[in-house]
Amino acid sequence: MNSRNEISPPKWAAKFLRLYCKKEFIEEIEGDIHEIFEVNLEDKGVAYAKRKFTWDVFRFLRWSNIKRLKKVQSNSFDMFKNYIKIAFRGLKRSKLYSVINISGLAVGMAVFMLIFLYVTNELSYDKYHSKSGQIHRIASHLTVPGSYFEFAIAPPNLGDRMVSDFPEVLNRTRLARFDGTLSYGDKVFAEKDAMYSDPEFFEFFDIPMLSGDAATALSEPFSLVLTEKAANKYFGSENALGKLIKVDGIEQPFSVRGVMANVPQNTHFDFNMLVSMETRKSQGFMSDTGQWFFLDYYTYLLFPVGYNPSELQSKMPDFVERNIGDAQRSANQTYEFEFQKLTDIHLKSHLDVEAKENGDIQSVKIFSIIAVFILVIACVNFMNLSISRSTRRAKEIGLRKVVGAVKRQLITQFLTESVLISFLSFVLAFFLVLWALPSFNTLIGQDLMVENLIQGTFIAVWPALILFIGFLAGFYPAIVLSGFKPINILKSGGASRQGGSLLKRVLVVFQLVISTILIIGTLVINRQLTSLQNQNLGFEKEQMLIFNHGGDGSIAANMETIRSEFIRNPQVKSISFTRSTPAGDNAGNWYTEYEVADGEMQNASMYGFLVDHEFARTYGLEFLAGRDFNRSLVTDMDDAFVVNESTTIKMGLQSPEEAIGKTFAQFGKKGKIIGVIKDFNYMTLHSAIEPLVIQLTDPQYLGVMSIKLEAGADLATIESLEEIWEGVITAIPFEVTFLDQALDNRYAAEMRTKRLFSSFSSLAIFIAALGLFALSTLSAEQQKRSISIRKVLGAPGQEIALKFSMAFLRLSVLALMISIPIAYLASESWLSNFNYRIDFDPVLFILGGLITATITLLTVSFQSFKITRINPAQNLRSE
Amino acid sequence: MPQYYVYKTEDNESKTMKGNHLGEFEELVLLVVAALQGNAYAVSVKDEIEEKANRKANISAVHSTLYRLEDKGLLDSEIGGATNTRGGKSKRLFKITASGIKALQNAEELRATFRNVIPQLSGLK
Repeated sequence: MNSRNEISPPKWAAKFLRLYCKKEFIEEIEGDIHEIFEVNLEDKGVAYAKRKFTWDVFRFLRWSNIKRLKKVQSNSFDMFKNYIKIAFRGLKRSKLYSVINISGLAVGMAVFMLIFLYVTNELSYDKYHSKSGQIHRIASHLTVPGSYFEFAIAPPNLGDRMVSDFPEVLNRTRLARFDGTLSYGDKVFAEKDAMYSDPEFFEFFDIPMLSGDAATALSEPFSLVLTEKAANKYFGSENALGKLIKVDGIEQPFSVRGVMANVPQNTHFDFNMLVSMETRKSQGFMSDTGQWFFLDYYTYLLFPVGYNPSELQSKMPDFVERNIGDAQRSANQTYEFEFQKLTDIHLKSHLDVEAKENGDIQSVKIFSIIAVFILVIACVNFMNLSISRSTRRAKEIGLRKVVGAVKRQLITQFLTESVLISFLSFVLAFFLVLWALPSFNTLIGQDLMVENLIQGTFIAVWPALILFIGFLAGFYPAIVLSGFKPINILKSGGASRQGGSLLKRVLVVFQLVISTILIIGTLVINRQLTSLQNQNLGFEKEQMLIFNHGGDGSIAANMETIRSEFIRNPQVKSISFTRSTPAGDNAGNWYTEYEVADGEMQNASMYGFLVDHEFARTYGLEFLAGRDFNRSLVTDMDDAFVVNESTTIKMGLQSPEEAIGKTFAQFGKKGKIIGVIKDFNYMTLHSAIEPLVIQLTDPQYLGVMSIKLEAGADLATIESLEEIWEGVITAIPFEVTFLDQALDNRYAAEMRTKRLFSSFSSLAIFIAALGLFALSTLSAEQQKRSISIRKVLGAPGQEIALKFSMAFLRLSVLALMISIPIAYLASESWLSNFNYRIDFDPVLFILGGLITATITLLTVSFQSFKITRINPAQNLRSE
Repeated sequence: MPQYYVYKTEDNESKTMKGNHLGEFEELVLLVVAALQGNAYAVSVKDEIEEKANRKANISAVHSTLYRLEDKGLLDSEIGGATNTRGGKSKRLFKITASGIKALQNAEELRATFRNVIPQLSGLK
């Protein structure tokens, strides 16, 4: 828990105050708002106090408080002042365009800043370690008959062996998962985020020790190093060092030998405590004997500075032959090892058993592109409006030229104006980011902070962005406008030609193309994910509670008691204890032997489920042949297998019935196939269904409980089950999830993409529509005279409106034709990541085009409606 | 549409800004500073206004008013001691000057002259 004194006002706000405030006021102002902050902290809570503090900082942003630049007396400085003054007058005079320009640009910039935050965070993973360039992780590629796997983990003593065999491998450290129920006094926690670790961990990774000795803290068995967060959880404000923690099932207590800083979120692993690897050895895991087919260890190697491990890669076949050759031949499995750069793991590694859910270079790319797209759309608005309005300023330019302005000065003037608008938009965008960041964080499931925008080197990005956008948007109008000939302008009383109308149309088409692509993309993603979620998985997922208790002696002993107690509740249909569930990734993958047609045995690696008798019934699995496990047949426990349909195909059998009675062996058990079930999806729908073997096993392996409820079950049912549970098992809290939610969680990354994509594409179309609206307003105004004349000559109102709208509609049809092929290619490449994917559906593409066209028409129709009601007398009066 | 621009000179600008006229909020702040008797700084003035006048006052508004009054010579100030509650920052304590008292009296007299000729108000007095 944080004590009141530790909560300080937002640092960036305080920094900002110091940045702008006059020296003589800083001390006092800072003191004042700090005092108010503390009062608010007491009365109204942290969030309010912080908000108020920030608000106060901005309220103090008054002319009288702001630092003055040294006075420079020069003509060009005065000219700039004049440009800015004129620019502000211009903004005030045409409020509609100013609002559209600035707000559109601000929304574009805000989106850009948010995505910038996300992308820089994704790219920052593991770069903070001082040795990050020297560290590589070993990935194991394992080939077994008929299958191939890529694991993020390695055999136990591979690292040690490499250190002793190769001088270029300076050191190694390993991490391995630790599960257990830990208790201190009356506090009990089921720890799932703990790791075994070698003492060298702290030499590799820059996670500082806050107390305790980093060199020795993990060198003895039964030692723990907690993160600050975990230390608070267990001991509150007490000193954690030297305290003893009890682990369920292990006699000897663990002693806390150190407290380290929390693992930064931009790290490819996460844990809240490290347990010494020696502990594992003393528990009987053979961590340094010749166990080559026991994969459990994330293994990191340290190389000399500047060393390229691809040199080592060429020596690896020899190394593998020398150390594992015989073992490989007898097990009929072959290894290859790959070195993964530490800093690449988060974005580029997608192996089995990653330490934490990794990011994805593809989404980083997609969202970078979207950020640039949206920014460009907003810039295009800006350019188009400036070009369209250029004729209105002709007189001013003519006069300036007559009085002696040269072309360069006029260009400077227009660029100053656009940079000013860009700056104003940036300020607004910054507030938008402040406001939108919490929801953006929820959307992407991360915890980004606005401070990151203005830290370190990024602080230089923003002035550059302001200048860049200002120049980009102001360049063309500046060139065109400054090229006007004063004599023409002043003679005719206004330039009549429309500047850059081709460019303007090209830009509009460009905007519409981007918007259409984003809309079609959103439709494709939505359709694909909806079809994934509604896919018949082959088992019952509704009304299913999952309780991952981790397996434990006390549960194994009381399994039947729990079952009979639970089943007594009328809302409970059935209960199954298993090792893995169809929603989890923890299906085992084991060495398997099966009988082929001519009676010989063949081996392969197949996925395996360890279950109890109720599994198939609880999940509603359908039998194609044979029977389910039977409680009354005791031998089922020792020699019965149920396989899925894919297994029979793999075995080369024509029908499921043929499989019954075939000899089969897996996971140290040999017996016969007694039943064949219909294929069900036990992995994500990214991959096709693989062979699956189901067998009964001892209760001690069954760490997950599935509870199938009746349709009418509610929260009260769960609460009553919890009561029963607590009556039997005290050490492990009853924490259940619904299976359908757990299933949806497996598509969390895709759901995030979907949500981000739809929000950003609606923003893009919104900005584009804003621009169209302003453009049509302008164009209606410029065509007032010609429309009036048409009316006088007898053209009906609808015809004029139609002609006016058609000009824009043509552009949107052109945009649709350009965007369909691009959208098609992009969506095909995204869909190729899925095994179950929707087919190409032209309806989606046409629908996307229709949406853009409709929005275009609606935006423009406001103006076309208005021009039908033009009174020619009013517009032609002065001619 | 014709537009007229009025250019301010340095001279008339300074007169309008630093005259002896007291704004409503300025007068309130001046009164509070006088009433707080030596313990007046931005936060205490703000709290007092919020409590007694029952209206919201922003700290930055109070702050700039205090300085404006000092520029007019109605207030005087000195740096006070730091306290722990302010993140270790010291505060500027304000006190009213003789001309400040004078300005308050003038404002009061001005009101009195009008009050005396309004029957409903003079009757109450």
